[in-house]
Amino acid sequence: MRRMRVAVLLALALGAAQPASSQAVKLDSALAAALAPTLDAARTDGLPDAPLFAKAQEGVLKRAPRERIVGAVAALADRMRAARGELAPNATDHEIIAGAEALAVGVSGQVLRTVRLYRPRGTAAMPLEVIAHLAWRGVRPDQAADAITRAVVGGATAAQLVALDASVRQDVESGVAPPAALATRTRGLTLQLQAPANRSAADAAPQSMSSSPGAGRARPRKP
Amino acid sequence: MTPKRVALGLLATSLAIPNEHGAQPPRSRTERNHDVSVDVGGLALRRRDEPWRRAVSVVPHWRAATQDGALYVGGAVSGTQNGYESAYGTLGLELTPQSSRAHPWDLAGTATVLSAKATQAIGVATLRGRKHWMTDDEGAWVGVTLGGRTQDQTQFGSIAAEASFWRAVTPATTVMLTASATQAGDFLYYEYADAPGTEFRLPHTARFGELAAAVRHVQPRVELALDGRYRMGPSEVLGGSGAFTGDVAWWVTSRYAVVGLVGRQLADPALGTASTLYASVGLRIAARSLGAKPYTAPPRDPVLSRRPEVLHVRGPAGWTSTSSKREVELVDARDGSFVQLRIGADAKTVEMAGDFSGWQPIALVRLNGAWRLPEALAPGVYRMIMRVDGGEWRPMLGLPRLQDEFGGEVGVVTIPR
Repeated sequence: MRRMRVAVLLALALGAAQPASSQAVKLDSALAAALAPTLDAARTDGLPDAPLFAKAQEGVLKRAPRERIVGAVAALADRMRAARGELAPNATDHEIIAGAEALAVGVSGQVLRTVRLYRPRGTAAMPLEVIAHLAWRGVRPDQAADAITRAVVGGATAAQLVALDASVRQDVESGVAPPAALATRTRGLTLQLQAPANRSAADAAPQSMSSSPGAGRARPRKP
Repeated sequence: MTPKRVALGLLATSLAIPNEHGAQPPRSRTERNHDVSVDVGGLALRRRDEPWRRAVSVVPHWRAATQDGALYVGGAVSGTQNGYESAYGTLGLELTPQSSRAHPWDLAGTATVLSAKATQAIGVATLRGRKHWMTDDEGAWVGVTLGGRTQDQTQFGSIAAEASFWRAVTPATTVMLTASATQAGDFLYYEYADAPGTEFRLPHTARFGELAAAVRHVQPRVELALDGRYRMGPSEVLGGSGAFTGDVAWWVTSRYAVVGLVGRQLADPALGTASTLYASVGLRIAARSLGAKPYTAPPRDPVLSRRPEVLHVRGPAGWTSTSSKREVELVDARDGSFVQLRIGADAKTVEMAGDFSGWQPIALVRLNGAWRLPEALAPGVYRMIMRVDGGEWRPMLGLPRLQDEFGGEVGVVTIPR
């Protein structure tokens, strides 16, 4: 009975979630019933269910076989469950979702634990999202995780991580290989984190010292 | 004369060898990247003071690349109006292992065999190592190339030292300056004028230096490369001092490109070819549609192949696709305002779905000839797909792509903060 109720709620949710939709994706009753156990268990475990709905929507939109949709939703639920465990004891929904994304790209649970160790509740999502985004752009997950965890351990702020993510994106879009872009930008961030006093001194340098072409732009060190 | 056939065939085919193309680096170390194409074309060439000759050639090309290097096989089968049929094959291996990322270096080797009608084969092998220094948009390298050639039961060797500086002046344009010094063993080549007895062997040790400048400009559909060089050395051996080449490829569709080459090539002691004027027009046929994967321009150089996305992916704006045979251009994804697309005028409906909509299709609104989302997207990174007129859902080309759990792909679009 409970599963049926979940299935009905799922179908309603999927049908009415986006009023701006041109043609809302509908679930057939068989798929809704097949998804019900997974969603039921996820709710019981206190996991956010919106990503699971969205995953089901994605599969339906792409006309994936029912079994594949069920499998994808279950896999996502498992990742969120694992992320919540790694980010224990009090991960927020946002952190769980970000952790699941990081796990999906191949990051280890140890990375989540490290980020949790250095980030209080509610602030771990950003580093994990940046890791996933870097991996999406072609950086190896282990390299992305290593760079971001080092930055987190070094005390990088959320703004600095966002700036790092944006810089790597811009570099990649302008043609730099993703691993090289991350390596270069990470070096720059590391220098900032290691030598704030020097940075302040450099910021205070007379304008005439920066009059060469390209001045004002951070130049990576030679390898 | 048989040697003439060999030499002319070698020259014709070497001119027709296409760029090594499709070296887009894989997204992960385990992913491989395969590209297969064939060029079919006609060639007109004039070697030294000989009359112009015509040739036809078929040039297949295969290349597989990973993050650690690439393996490629190229070749050509050609025939000239004089009946000089020949075949040419080359095997190349480039190594850029992970350990070279921090302190970039690369190693490349090639082995080439030419076989022509009723002649002995000519073998050429090269090995090149380089050390690079790179920043975001410029770099330099120094390298040494060792060459060996066997021809008519005689072996020749060469060594060249090179230094180069390159800079990306725009996201699509790269300039490169190169200086080199070469010493080649006995410089053997053949004259093959129609009159018999005009076969030359010049047992000189050739020493010469070169200064070269190259410009490479690549747009989504057009690739253009210009190269000019000046050689300092004994001109009676090397056949001249100045040379230029121009190389253009225009992708008419996602699978077919018109390719053209024109220029003057200096004598090459390593290959045993003499200076030549040439012009070539051909058709390049890609075995895999460019629509199947964002096309990356051919790397003329491992340096460029490390930064290939400059060649075709210029970020959220400025890319095109042949999806559904309609031009699709992402006009703007900045300022968090909206995602705006420009699609063929005959499109009736355009829909987009992704993380931002919970994967529910969102109908885009047409305004001033462009299509836009009805509501602004918040800054962030989104996975998304789109379709036109109820067609197939697919990621927009030009954006980074990800495999999804359903056997397909999604595009990744970033709305900057």
